[in-house]
Amino acid sequence: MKAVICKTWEELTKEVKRENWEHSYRPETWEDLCQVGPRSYPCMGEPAGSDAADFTMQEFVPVFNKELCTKCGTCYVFCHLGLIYEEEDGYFNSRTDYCRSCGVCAYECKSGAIEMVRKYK
Amino acid sequence: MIEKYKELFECKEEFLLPSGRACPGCGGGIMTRLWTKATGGKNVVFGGIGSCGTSTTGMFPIGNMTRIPAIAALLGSNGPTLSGMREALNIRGMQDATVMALDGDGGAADIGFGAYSAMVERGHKVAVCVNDNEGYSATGGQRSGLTSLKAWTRTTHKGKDRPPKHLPFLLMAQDIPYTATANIGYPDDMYRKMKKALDQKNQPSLIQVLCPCIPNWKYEPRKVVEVSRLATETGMYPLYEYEKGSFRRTVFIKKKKPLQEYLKLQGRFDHVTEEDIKEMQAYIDALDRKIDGYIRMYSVEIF
Amino acid sequence: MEEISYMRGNQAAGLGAKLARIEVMGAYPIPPSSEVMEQIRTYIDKGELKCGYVETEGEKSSHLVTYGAAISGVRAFNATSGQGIAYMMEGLHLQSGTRVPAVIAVANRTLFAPHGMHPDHQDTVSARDTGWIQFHCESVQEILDTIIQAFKVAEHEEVMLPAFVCYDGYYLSHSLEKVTIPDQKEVDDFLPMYHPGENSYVGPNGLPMSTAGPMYDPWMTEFRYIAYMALNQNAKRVINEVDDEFGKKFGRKYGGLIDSYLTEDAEVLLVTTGSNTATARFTTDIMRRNGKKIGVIKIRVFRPYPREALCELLEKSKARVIIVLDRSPFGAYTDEAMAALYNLKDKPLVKGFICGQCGRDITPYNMIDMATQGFDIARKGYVDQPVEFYFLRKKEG
Repeated sequence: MKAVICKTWEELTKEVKRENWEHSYRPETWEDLCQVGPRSYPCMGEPAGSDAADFTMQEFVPVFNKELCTKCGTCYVFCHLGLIYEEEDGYFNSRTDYCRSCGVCAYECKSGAIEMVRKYK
Repeated sequence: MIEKYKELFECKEEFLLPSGRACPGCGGGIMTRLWTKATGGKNVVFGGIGSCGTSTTGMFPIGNMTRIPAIAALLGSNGPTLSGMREALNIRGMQDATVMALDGDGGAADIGFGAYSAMVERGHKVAVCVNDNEGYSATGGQRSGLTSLKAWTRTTHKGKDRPPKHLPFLLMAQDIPYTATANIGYPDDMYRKMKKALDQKNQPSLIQVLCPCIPNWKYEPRKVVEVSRLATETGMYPLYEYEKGSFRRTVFIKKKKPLQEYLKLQGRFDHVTEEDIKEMQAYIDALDRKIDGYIRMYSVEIF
Repeated sequence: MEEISYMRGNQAAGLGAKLARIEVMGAYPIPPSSEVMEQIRTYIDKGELKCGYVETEGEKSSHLVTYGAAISGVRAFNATSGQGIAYMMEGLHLQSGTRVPAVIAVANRTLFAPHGMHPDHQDTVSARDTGWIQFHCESVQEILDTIIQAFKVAEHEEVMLPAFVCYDGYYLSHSLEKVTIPDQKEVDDFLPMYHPGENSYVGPNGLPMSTAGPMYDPWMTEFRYIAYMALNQNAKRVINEVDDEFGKKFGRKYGGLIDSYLTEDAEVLLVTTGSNTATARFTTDIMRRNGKKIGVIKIRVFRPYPREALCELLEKSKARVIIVLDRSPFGAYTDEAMAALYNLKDKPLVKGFICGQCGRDITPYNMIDMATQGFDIARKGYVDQPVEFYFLRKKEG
């Protein structure tokens, strides 16, 4: 049985090529589904599809200012998608592909090091 | 990082994938991410994910936004499913596997309360984390047993006229080994409680976490942590824990903030009048006295 | 070594589960089946069975214990009756939908209201659309053998569906009959340890695989199709195969989906389910001695309904009338028989008698009367009332 890993509904019905996915799998026909029943593997690789950038949810993304950052880690704790990560020098940065513009990181940052910047015009 | 968040940085791996379906400003998302980190991610299985869990983890085949295998049972039936899984894994020789579940406030305190009470009485080693968003959020925002006094929901348009239940108090009466309330506004305290709940010495355990829900509480998405913190600072949601016969507050508020600060941030309290605020203040004072009473009752020594 | 003993139906169910080496049991007491859980507890306390025993606060919860254990990869069992099946209904759909095998022993009992304790088939008939396989047993020996066969059918990789093993409430569960107990080693040979297959596990430790989240039409239909084919195609074949294998190994066969008694030259056939089959066989002998040729068809497996087997049997027989002895209150067995025979070229006439409600006796005299009515129908050539209540008390004087 092949693992059925996360896909958006749109991609199931049209041809899409993405290069940077670790476990890219697309069920060609319904027979590729798990034959035992509605079971699935938890997604062990990169999640496939659903870039928030493709949705209209993403309007702003956070931009990190190293001069004001005090390395407290509050932004890392409160991002509910886990997009903010700690770099080697202790400062924080985030990946923006799945950001949903909630703005909690910027609001909770006590030193004002994060600014929400409009991504698209 | 600052000293109080040191524990939260121990586990660097993310187990909740970012392509779930949680709203921006979802309190439950913050809680689920830290709960999965607290488990460590190895040798652990979800016995139930609750209704908001199924919407955050997404529809099939996008589903399973956690890297931890999850068995989704029915609403209100986490209790026996966890017991069955625990027995089965013990028979298979996997006593050290962690069996835990996420649940909602409706699924834990209303429809599934009898099942949880029986699960605690049987004493299987399982842990449950209850996402308290004060209503049936995944079905649209109807009231549940844990909705706040005077809160607007889709079925209490003029405000709920009865105070909420307290799940930890109900289970304390059964001598559950560990139970606590937590708040995403105090993540260090919450993480410490999660780690305690997942320790097999303290199981069966249940912790109830206040997670604001943006479509039903109606606040600005970026203020989710502030709203949550104010719930404790005004006294509406005190934080305490009960561990094998000893009861204590874990976050002390020396001077409570005025209630109006908490209410004005949320759209669900727009209709509240002066009289209602007096009633809510009376409820806060009564809750305070109740907790003091519990502290006296569970003190080890009385001088 | 085979042993010969005597026991009640409930004890036979418990013994069957012990021989099958169950690993987890969820339990909640309800008469008449509470003795099964007491029996399993006795085996565990004596050290004869290593099994996790979870007593819950209701039947819905006890079924979910069975489900949680089965989905974690162990052999799970449960025993209930009447109201318990009704309370479990939500979970039954869940288990057959995720295709997780288990066996539940059901001592059939009527559902409230009116408040009754005695047997009829209303509980499992109400559960006929849950997707569970349903076996019905005629004797206490058959209960013991069917539980072992049911585990093998349910855990077969092409079936993977849960099963009910049903027997009549007080008639079989509480009456003593002679039983031949198979040897444990032979049973282990016939029914090896349960391995759900590599595709049900995740990770090096073997934690259970996730269940899929909510989905909508494009995938729902496909999963429904997979479950449908497992029930209506694979299960029918596998039940027959397992019964043949059991017969070769232990010397007792039960006919697979359908058992028949003297049907080739009969003019009227009685279609029975459950314990009244034994009475029907006895009635057949009596009537044949008096020159009237009747026969018996026993529906051993109610779900999946043995359509093809029934049609095949009727093509070989020269019977023109079928009398269905219906133990469900609204005529479900008659409806199923009529629907199964609808597309036959030369279909016989079907009449159903609703009888035996809440344990009202169906005596050989009743069966002789029903068969005689069948001969009248054969002479007239048509059926007045397709379904009729049998043996009501007189209204006046």
